[in-house]
Amino acid sequence: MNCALALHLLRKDMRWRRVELVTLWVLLAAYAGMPLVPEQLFDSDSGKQWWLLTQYFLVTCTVGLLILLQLDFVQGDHPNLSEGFLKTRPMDGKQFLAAKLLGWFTVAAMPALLAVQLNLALCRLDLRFADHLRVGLRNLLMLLGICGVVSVFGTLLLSRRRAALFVSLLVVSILLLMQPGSQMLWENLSESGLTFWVMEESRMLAACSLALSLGFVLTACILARIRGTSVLILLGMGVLLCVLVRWFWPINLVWRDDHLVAHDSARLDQLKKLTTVKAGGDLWLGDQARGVPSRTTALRIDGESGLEFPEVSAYDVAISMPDGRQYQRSMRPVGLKKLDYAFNPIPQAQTRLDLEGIYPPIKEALGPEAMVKALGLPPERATELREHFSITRPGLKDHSRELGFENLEPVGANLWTHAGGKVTLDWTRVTVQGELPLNVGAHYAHDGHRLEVREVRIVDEHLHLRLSLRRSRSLLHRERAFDSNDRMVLWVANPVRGDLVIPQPLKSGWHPYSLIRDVETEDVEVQCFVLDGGSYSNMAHMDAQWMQQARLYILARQGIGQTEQSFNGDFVTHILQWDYQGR
Amino acid sequence: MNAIIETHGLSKRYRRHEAVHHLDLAVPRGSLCAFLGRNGAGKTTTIKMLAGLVRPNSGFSSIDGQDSQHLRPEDWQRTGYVSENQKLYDWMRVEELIAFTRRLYPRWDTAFEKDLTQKFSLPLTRKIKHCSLGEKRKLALLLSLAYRPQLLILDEPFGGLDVLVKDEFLAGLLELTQQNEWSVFFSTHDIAEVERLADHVMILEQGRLELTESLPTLQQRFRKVKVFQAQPSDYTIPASLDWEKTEGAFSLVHPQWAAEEESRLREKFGDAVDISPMPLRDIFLSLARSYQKRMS
Repeated sequence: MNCALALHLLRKDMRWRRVELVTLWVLLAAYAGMPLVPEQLFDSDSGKQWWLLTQYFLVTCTVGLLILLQLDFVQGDHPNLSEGFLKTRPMDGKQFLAAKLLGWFTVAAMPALLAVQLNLALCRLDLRFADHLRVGLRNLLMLLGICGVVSVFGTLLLSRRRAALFVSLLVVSILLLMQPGSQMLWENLSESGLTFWVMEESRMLAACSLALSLGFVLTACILARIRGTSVLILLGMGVLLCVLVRWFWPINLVWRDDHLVAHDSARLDQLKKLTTVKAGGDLWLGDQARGVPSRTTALRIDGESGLEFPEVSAYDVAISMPDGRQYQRSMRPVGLKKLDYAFNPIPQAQTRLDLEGIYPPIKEALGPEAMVKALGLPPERATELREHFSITRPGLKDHSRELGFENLEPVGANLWTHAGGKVTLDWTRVTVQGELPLNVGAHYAHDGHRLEVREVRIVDEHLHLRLSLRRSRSLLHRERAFDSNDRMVLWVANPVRGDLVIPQPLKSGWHPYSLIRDVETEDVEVQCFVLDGGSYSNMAHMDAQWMQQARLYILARQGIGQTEQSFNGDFVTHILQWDYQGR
Repeated sequence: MNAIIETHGLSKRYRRHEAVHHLDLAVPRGSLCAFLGRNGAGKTTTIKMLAGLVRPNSGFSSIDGQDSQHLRPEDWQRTGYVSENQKLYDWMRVEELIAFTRRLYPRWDTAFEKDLTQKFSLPLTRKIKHCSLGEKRKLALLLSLAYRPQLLILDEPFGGLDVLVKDEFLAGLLELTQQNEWSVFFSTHDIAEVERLADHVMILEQGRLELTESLPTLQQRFRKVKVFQAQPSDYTIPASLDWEKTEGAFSLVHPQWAAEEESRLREKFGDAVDISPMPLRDIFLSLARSYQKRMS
């Protein structure tokens, strides 16, 4: 491409839209500098609303200006608008379009992408380079998508309406084609588990953005009057690329890899031996012939009290009657189909797990006596019970749809049946990442997380803390930050007095502007209870001196690997509305 | 004939309205060809198709042998185009637009540009949006002349120009075409100026090419005949246009004039006949009236 020509056109367009460009740059600078504004300024509810309104206004104006500039830069010299002033000058159509697009990207799109990165950097989250790359790539793809939509609409408005309509229909068809069916999702889930879900959003985002930007390429081809066969070849290649990206896009654009990996295979073998899984639960079956309404839900990944069965529409039930006759009935599940797992010897209660999980690091801070005092546990258990697990993949592979029943006496009473399968456990270990004094303004940042103490007070000898938790999160992925499964676990202890304190969340909520930024900020208010012998106590005397001695510990969960556990168990089957009298 | 512009079966339809119908024309190289026609005859559509700004529904057009839908940058180095309502970057100053356009042409003649600027009395420092229609038109012309193109395609170039400027412009254009052997293809309603400038005429009527001829031949072919006596019963009027009969006199426009026809008339009517050559304006009016009659 002729660089001199590209620069010449760029200079002209920049001069033409200098007011809009300067406004855009000012808005982008304001957006980038948002993290520098002290949040304390907007602590009140009305203040927060005004701040949110300002930011929405900022973002809307910025996106609007980007769209306007794209229309102006790329379409402004359209022959229909300029009576062919530039079209009848010595310039190649493709070269002209490339120069225009490059110009728009250089002065408008790239500053926008940089502003997002700068905004993220100013949040001081101690992000990894890979995370910056991920955010940059994600925003670039989204921008390409917007660019495609704007181009199609711009062409639709200016000329070539039929062609633009054709392109938009084509793009919509490609987008619909790429939507996964529920059956497809289900099959993929069975095969590759959670990894599929993690990549699903990224692949959809990449594929949709590429499909939309294909709209841009096609409209550009139409405007540049490129031959139909070339456009068709380009379209075919574009569709193929979109489909490939839809299924094989390798880069995770949405989620962060929160769990630091510290693989420990020796410990995993040990844990596998220590862990046993038992299954039990309830299954309610109704007579399908009677059309009993049923709730069929897809498999849920986790749950506090168990796992649901996979979606099975009907079970063929063989019923043996006391007189020796046998009936085959098709029955469908009714209500919640729960299958409970019991893990031994690890206790099931989450709080208990948490306590034991943090035992070793806290022990180092407080000393063995304090741990006995706080948890009521002998110190030697620390080596045994220091890992926490979560279920990532419930494997019900050998669960059969065919259920056989015998001894149907009395009819309709609970029946036992057998289920077996495998479950994958994700093991994590807690390590101390940092500690903070209980002072307002004290902060800690590590690997995409930032914690800041906003308020410390003692009310009725109870310690109240207000913390601000910030972390890098895609707009496409939101979840509560103060979560026991989160990578960052908070604990308060007074090493001098040997007091261990459990922070109980009182109030927690996102900052409203988390909705328009790639950073999630959550305000958490916690009330702290001293742990005494494994139970909460208010006996410790908390005062200013106690606060000076106390430390806020930030602990991180590190993944050490997975184990796959087989399970076998009986579960109770309830048959509803079964009437055998007439059979 | 060595044609610089050619079209074969060129047609353009806007929904139900057929703007140009199967147009076959050839503009001789080095000629100043006037493209005449009434409003809505399809002149602008034809010119836009020639410039590659409008795609024809069927047919083919070429400029200097190159398909006009796929004109290359080098073709535009040799061709100038000014449309009827040429849009210019009105946020720029006159001198800025000249400088901007200058960079696009490696063969831009700066001396000629300065000469034209003086001739057209262009206000260099004024913003284009504050210029008059005539000044904008002159600027557009300058931007298409200063690189000395071999072919100029002008759509209504005289619109908005005052008499003095028009005169200057015509004189300049004539001088340039004579010096440089340029070809000019221009549409206009200003027939008086055509007579002065053009050497070839084409008339378009409702999208159809009705006439294409060199101007001297055309003027030689048409005669106004006035006979100051009643039409004798044994006299057959030849194929004519604008035949009019009054008491004791009649007149007609003869479209295929020849010396034999004059002797035949003199022999029949003696001194009572007045035969006069016609200005282009009258020829055009006669033809337009005859087309109108035929259509109705």
